[in-house]
Amino acid sequence: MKDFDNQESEIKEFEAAALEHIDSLFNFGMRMTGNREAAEDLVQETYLKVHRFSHTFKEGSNLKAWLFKILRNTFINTFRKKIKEPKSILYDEVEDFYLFNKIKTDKKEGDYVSGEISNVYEFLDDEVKNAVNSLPLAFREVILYSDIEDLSYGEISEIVGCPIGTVKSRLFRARKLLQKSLWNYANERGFLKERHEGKEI
Amino acid sequence: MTCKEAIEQLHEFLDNELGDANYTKIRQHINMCHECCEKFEFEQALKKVIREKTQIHGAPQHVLQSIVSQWAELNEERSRPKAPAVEPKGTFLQGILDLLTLRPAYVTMAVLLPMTIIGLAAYLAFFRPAEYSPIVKVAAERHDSFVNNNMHLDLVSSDSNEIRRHFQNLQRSNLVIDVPECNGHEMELLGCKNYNLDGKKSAYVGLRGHQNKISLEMINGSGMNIAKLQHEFYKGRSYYFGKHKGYNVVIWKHGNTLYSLTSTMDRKGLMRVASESILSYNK
Repeated sequence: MKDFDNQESEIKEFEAAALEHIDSLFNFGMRMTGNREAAEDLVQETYLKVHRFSHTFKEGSNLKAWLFKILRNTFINTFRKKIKEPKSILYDEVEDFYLFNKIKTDKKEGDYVSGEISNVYEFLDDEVKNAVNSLPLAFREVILYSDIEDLSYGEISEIVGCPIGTVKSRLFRARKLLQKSLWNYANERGFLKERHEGKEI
Repeated sequence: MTCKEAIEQLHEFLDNELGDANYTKIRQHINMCHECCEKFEFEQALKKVIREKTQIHGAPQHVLQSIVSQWAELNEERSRPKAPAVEPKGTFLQGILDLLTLRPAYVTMAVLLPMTIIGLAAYLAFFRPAEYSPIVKVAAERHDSFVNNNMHLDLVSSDSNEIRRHFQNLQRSNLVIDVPECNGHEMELLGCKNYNLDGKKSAYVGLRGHQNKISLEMINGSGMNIAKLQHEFYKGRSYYFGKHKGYNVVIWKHGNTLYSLTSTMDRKGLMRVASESILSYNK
C-alpha cells in the first residue's frame, strides 16, 4: 500500500509540474496558429497526450522540452502542416545587423529620442507581434523556443529533431528575417515617427 | 579578441550558449569596443523586446480546468478494478446488438468485397489466362484444319524461294511476308495460303518438322493495337505462349507483323523451332 501511495504522489507531482507550463504552451499555440480557439484545442489535445504518454517521460530529462515536443507533433498532426526550412531567397539578401544598420543610416534629426539606439524599441509594440507572426513556421518556432521560452540550442534541437548546427543557422536566419520585417512594419506605418512626435508633444 | 570574432559568437553569447572562458572574453571585448557594445546591446534589446511583446495572457482558466478534470477521469479509470464478467444472457444480447452496429470492420468488408469481385471480373475479362486468348484460338483452329487436310493450300512446295515468290505475286498490300529459312533443322516447307481475315491481311505457311506438323501464320497487325497487345499480352516478354485444343501456340511480333507458330510439339520444342529457325531470322 505504501508503494501505491508513493506512486500516486509521484503522478500528482508529475501532473502539477506539467501543468506549470500551460501558459507557455498556450502562448506557443497562439503564435503558431494565430487563432485562440485553435490554440485552446491544441493545448487540451497536448495535455491528453501528456497523460497518455507520461510513462515515456524519462525522469530527470527536461520536462518543458518534452512538453513542447508533444505540442509540436500535435500541431503538425492536427493542422497537417509541414514545418520545413524556408527557401533561401527569403533571407539570403538580408545583411547582418539589418535593423541596426537601417536605423543608423536612416536616422534623421529628431527621429528618435536621443541616447542609445536600442531605445527605438520603446516605440514598437504590435509591430513586433506582426513581425513574429509573419515568419515562416520553421523560423517562428525557433524564435519562440529561444527568445521567449529560453530553451537551449540542445533542447530546441531535441524538440524539432534537427542537429544543433541546423538549429543555430535557422535561428540566426530567423532573426535576420525578423529584423527585416520589423523594419518594414515599423516603416510602413510611420510608427516610429508618429509615436515619437506624440511623445514630444 | 577581434571584433569579427566577437560578432561571430554574438548569438551564442546572447543565448547563453557559451562556456565561461569564451563568455568572459567577449564581455571584456564589449567593455572596450564601443562599436561592438552598441551592436550587442541592440541585439540583446531585440531579444528582450520579442519576449515582452509576444507574451500574451496565460492559458484561459476553462482550458486548465477541463484538462484537470479530464485527467482526473482518466486516473479514475486507470485505478478502477476491471469490470466483473457480464451475465451470459446479457453477453448474448450484447452480441446480437454488436452485430447490428456499424463497426469499422463491417464498413471495410462492405467496401472490400465488391472491390474484390470487380477486380476478379476485370481480371477474367481483360487478362484471361492464355488458353482463352482469341488469337491463340484462331491459330490453333487454322492449324487443326491444316493438319486434317481441310485446308486447301494455294501452293505446295518445299522450296522456300518459290513460296516467297508466290507470296510476292499474291500480295498487293503492304503486308510484310517472308518465309523463314529452316536452317536445315529437319523441316520442310509445305505450302502457303493468303487470307483476308476480318480485313486484316493474313498469310499462312505450313511446315513439316521431323515428326510434327507446324503452322506459321503472319498477320498484318497494323489494324490492331500492337503496343497495347505488347503490354497486356506479352507482359514485357518478347513472345507469348498459349494453348488451345491440345495445340501449343507461340506468338511474337516483328515490326507490324504478328507471327504465330502452332504445333502439337511441346512447349520447349516449339520454342526451339521459333527461336532457332524463325525468331533468329527476324533479328
